[in-house]
Amino acid sequence: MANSSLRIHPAIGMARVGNSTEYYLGPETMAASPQEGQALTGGLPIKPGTENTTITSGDLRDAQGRLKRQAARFKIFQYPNEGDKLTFPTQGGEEVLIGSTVDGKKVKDIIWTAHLANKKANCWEIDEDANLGIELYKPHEVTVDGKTMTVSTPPLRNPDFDSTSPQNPYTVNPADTDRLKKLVIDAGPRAIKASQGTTPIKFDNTTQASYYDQSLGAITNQPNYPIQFPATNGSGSNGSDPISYLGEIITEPNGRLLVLGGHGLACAFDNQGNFDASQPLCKDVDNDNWLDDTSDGPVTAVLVFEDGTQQAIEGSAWAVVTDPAYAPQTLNVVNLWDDVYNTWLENFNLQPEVFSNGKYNPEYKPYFQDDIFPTLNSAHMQMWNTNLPDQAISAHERVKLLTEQKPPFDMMKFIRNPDGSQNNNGAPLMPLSLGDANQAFLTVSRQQYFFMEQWNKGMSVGASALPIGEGEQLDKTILVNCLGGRFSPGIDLTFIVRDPDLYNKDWQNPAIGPFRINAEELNYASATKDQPFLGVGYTPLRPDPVQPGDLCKFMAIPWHTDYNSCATHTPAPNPGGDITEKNVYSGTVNTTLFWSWPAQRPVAVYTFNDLSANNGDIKSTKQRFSVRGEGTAAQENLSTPGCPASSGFDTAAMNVGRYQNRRNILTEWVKIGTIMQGPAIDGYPDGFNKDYYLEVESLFDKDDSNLVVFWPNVVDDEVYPPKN
Amino acid sequence: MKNIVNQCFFLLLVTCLVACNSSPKEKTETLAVAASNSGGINGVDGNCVAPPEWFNGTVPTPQPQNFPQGDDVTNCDFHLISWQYFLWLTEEVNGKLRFENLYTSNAIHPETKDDTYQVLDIVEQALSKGILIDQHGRAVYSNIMINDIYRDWVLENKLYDPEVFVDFDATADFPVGSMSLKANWKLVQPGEDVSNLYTTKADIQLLTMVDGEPRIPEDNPQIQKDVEVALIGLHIAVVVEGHPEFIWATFEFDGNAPNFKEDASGVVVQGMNDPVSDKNWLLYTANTTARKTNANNAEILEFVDESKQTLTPVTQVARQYAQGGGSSTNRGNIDHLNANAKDQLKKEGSIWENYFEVGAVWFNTEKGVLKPDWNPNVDSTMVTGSLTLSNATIETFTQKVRSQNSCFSCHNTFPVTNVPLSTKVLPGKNANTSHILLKNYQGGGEVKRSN
Repeated sequence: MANSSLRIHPAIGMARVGNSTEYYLGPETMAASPQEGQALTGGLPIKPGTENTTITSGDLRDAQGRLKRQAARFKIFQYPNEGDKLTFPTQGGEEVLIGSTVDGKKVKDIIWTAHLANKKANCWEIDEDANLGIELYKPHEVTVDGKTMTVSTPPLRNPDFDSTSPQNPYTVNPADTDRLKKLVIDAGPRAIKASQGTTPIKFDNTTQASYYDQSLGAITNQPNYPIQFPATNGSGSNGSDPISYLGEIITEPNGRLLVLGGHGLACAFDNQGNFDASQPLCKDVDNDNWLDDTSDGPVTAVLVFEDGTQQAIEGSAWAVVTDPAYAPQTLNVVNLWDDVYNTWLENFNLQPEVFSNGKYNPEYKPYFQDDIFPTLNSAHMQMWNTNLPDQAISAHERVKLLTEQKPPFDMMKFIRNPDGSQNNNGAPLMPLSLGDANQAFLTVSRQQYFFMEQWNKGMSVGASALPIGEGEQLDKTILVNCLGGRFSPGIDLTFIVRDPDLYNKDWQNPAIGPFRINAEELNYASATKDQPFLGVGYTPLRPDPVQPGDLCKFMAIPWHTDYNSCATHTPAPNPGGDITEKNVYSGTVNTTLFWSWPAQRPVAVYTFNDLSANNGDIKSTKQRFSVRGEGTAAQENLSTPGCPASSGFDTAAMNVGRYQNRRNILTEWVKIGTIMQGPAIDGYPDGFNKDYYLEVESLFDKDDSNLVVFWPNVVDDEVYPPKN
Repeated sequence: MKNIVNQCFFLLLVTCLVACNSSPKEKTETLAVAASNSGGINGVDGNCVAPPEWFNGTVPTPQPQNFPQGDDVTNCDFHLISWQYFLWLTEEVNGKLRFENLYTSNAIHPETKDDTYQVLDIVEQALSKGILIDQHGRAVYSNIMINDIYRDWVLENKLYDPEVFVDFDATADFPVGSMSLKANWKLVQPGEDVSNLYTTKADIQLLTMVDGEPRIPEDNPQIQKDVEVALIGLHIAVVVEGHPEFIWATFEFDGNAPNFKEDASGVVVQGMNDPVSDKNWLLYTANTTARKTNANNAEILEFVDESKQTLTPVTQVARQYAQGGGSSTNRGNIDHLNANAKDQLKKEGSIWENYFEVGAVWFNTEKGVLKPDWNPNVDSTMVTGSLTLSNATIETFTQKVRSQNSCFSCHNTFPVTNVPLSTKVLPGKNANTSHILLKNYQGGGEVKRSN
C-alpha cells in the first residue's frame, strides 16, 4: 500500500504572456532575496532546459526582438509517512522525476493534464466607481434607472450583449447559454505524456481536447469537447487581434510540466460576438466588447510506473497566465503571498502558534530574515521603479540594514496600521502607495504588521527559521513574486485570494495540502459539441467550486489598459472628496500623486544606457518613465476616441508615464523594458555597482514622455519634456 | 482608477479641522484692549492688538517664561508674542538689527560657539530641493540663527556630538526662551526700488554646478562679500512657557506675493487656471495663473549665466493659505493684529510697517503636549493656530503638498531614518524639532524629513 503522499507544486503557478513563441521559466527564488554566495538577488527567471540558471538581459527577447513568455513550471513532490493530518509547514519532501522511486516503484512516465480558459467577458465588473472590491459580493442596494434593488454582485460585464436594448447589468444571467458560448474563451483540456512531451500541445482551436481517462489509464482525445474561441472571424487591426490560442504545454525530459500562456493579444467584438476592431476602449478595467488571451485553469498529474501501474495525484495545482514581469527582482511591499498566507492563517488554522481563536499569539517569535526583512528590503527596492526623493532612498537604505535586534527606534510609528484607523494618513506612514478598495493608502497585511510589531518589541532575537520543504517553499516563492495588497483589481490575481471559499478547505488531507484552489471536478467525458462545457463557476463568497478561467476572470479586460493606467494617481477615496478646479488648493483634498503598483508596474526607471553614458554614476543619471513611447507625452483633459467625454478633474501631471490613448498600449506593451540587476545585464562593466537595478531591452528608441520629477508630485505640477 | 467621492470622509475632516483649531479658551467676544506690559501677554481674541508701549522707544524684551497658561491663554497671545519678538529682533542694536547679532548654527559646536558671522549660505528650500528664483533670475538666500539659550542648552548637553544626541533623553525639551530664526533675503539689483524693504550688506555663498544642478557646494563655496540684500521673510521659532514644541511664527514683506483667493469662510477657492493677481509683486508677475505659481524647479533649474549667477526659470510665488489657515478666530486675530501693529509702526515711520505676520502655529496643550515619536500627519489633534502655515518665500514649493504644508510637518519628534549608512537611526525625541541638530546629526545638507 502506498504510504507516500504526492502533491504538485507550486499550488498556483504563474505564466506570463509575451509576443514571442519562445520562453523562459518563471523565477523560483524570491524577488530581491539575498542568494548565498552570489551578487545576484532572487527573482530572476530561469533559462529553459536548466535547473536554475538565471537569465541575462540577452534572454528577455528573441532574435526578432519579441518579448519572450514566461512558463510556469510544475513539479511533483512525494512526502513519505506523513500520517493522516498535515501541519504547515511541511518539512522535507522529495521531487518526483522520471526515474524516481515512489513507495518502491520506479516512475517511468508522467501524464499531465491542464485546462486553460478565459471568462473575463462574462464576469462581473470590478466597478471602479463603487471601489469596494469583494464587498460588492455581499448583499447591498443599488439604484438602476431610478429603482432601488438589493443585489449580491457588482454589475455584469457586457450586459447588453446580444441584446437590442440596454439591460440591467444586475439582472442579466451569466449562465445564459449564448453568453457562455460567445463570451468565454475555452480551449478545453490538453494532456501530455512527459516521455513524448518535447512537442508542445497547444491550447488552440485546431488541436483536439484531450485528458487523462482514469478508466482507460491513458490519454484520451475528446473530439466532442466544445472548444470555444469567440470572435475569430476577422483580421487583426490596430491592437485588436482574433484570439485562437491561449498557450501550450510542454514537458522537460525529467517529467516536469511547463505551462505557457498566450501572446498578449486583445480582441474586440461587436454585440453579436463578431470580430470588430473598431470597438472603443473607454475604461481602464472593465471594457465591454473586448477579450484578451490571458487564462487560468487546473493542472493534474498521473505517475506511470515501470510495473505498469499508475497513480493519479489526487489534488491539483492551478496555472495562471498574466501580464509580463517587467521588474522580476523588485519585491512588492505587500505581495500575493502576504495576502494568501493571511487568508490561510486567519481562516484555516494554518499555524495555530501564530494565529488561533481569532488572535495573533503575543508570544510568537517571528524569524527576522523570513518574516520582517523582506518587507524592509522591499521598501528599499522601490527606488528602482519609482521616483523617490533622496531622503526616502536614504531612509530605506538605512532601515534595510537593521537586524533581528530590537530596532533602536519605534519602527511601528512608520507603519500604517492595517486596522483601518490610518487609512487616510499618507506620509510618513508606510507603505506610501495607493490603497486597496475603499482605502486611500495601502497597508501591510495583518500578519506582516504583527511580525513587525513582535520584532519591534525585541522578540525576534534568537528566533529560528521555520523549516519548510522545497515544495511548499515553491508555493510561497511563486506568490511572493506577484502583486498583493492593492486589488483594484491588481496584476496577477485579485481580491478573491482573500476569500476562503476560493480554496480547498481539506488542506490537512495529505493528498491535498494547503493553498489549493477548490477545483471543480470536471467530467470531460460528458462534453458535447453544442453545449458550453464551462458554466458560471466560482462566485466570490459562495461555495461554488472553481472552474478553468475563474481566477483571471476578475482581472482587467483587457489587462493592457489597466497596466497602462496604473502609474500614479491621487488617493481614491480622496479624504476630501473629488478634486475640482475650485477646491484644488483648499487643502481639504489630497492633490498629491502616489504610485499604484510600483514594484510590478514600474513607473520611473534608471536605464542601463543612461547609467553607462554617465560612467556608472547614479547620482548624475536621471530617471525616465518606463512607459515612454510615442503618445505618452502627458496631456490634459484626455478624450478617448469613441468614448464619452471625461467630466472629471484631469491634468497633465495626472497622466504622466502612460499612453494617453488606451489603444496604444495594446500594441506598445511589447516595447517596455525590463529591470534587471547589473550583473544580470550582458556587458555590465565590472566597475559599476552590482546592486543597481536598471532597465534594459526597452524598444523605445526615443523618450517621448516627460521629465521624471521626484516625489512629491501634485496635480497642478507643470510637466516638462524629457532631457533626451 | 477613478477618484471616488466620499462625503463621510469630507465631513469628518471638516469636523476635525474645526475642532482642532481652538485654543483652550479662544475668546471671540470683543473686549476692550487688554493692558500688556513687558512682563506678560494678555491678548483678546477678536480684538487682538499690540500694546502701544511697544512702539514708544525700546521694544520690551519678550518674557517667554511669563507666557499665559491654562484658561488665561488666548489665540491672540501667541500672535502677540510673535509680533513682540519680531519687533524686538528687528530693533537696531549697536548699528545692526538685534537678530543680525545672533549666533549662527555653527555656535552649537564648542570650537565655534561664538560664531556670529552670518553668511547667507542657503538657497535650497527644505524638502523640495527647489530654489526660489526672483524676477531678476537670482536665487533668494536664507540664513539660520540661534540665541544663547538655544546654543547653551545644546553645548551643555553636548548634543553636537551625534553619539550623545542619539542617546539623549527623548523627553528632554528645549528650555524656555530657546529661539531659532531663518531669514530670507532677496539680492537687490541695480536700480531696484527697495525703499519699503529693510536692506543691508551681506556676504553670500555662490552657486555652481553640483551633480549636474546649480547648487551651493558643501565644501569651500565661493563667497561674494558685501552684497546688498533685502529682507523678505523671517521665521521665528521660540519656546515659551508650556510650549516646548516652539511657537512657529513667520513674517513676510507685504509686497512679496499675492494670496490665493478665499471665500468668506476662509476656504481657498482659487481657480487653477485663474490669475492670482492682476498686479506685479516682488516675486510674482501680474496675471500669472495659480497653476504656474510655486512650481518646484528642482529638476529643471539651469544657469542662464553662472558668472552672473542668473538662473532660469523664474519662480512665480503666491501664498496658498493666507494667515496660514486655521480657525476664523486665528485668521481674524492675525489680520487684526497685523493692521494694528502696522498702523502703530506707520506712525513711527518704521520700515517694519511694510512687514506682516503670515501666521503662527503651536499646540493646544489641553489636547496634547510634545512627546517623542509625534508627527502631525499621524496625529494633528493638538496642533492649533495657523494649521497650514508656510512662508511663501521659504517654503514656496511645499505649500501645495498636503503632507508638507505645515511647520510641524518637518519640525516634529519622529525618528530620523534617513541618516548615512554608518550612522545610527535617530530615535524619536522632543529635540528632533530642531533641524540644526538634525542637520548636524545627518552630517550636513538640508534636513529632509520623511513626509
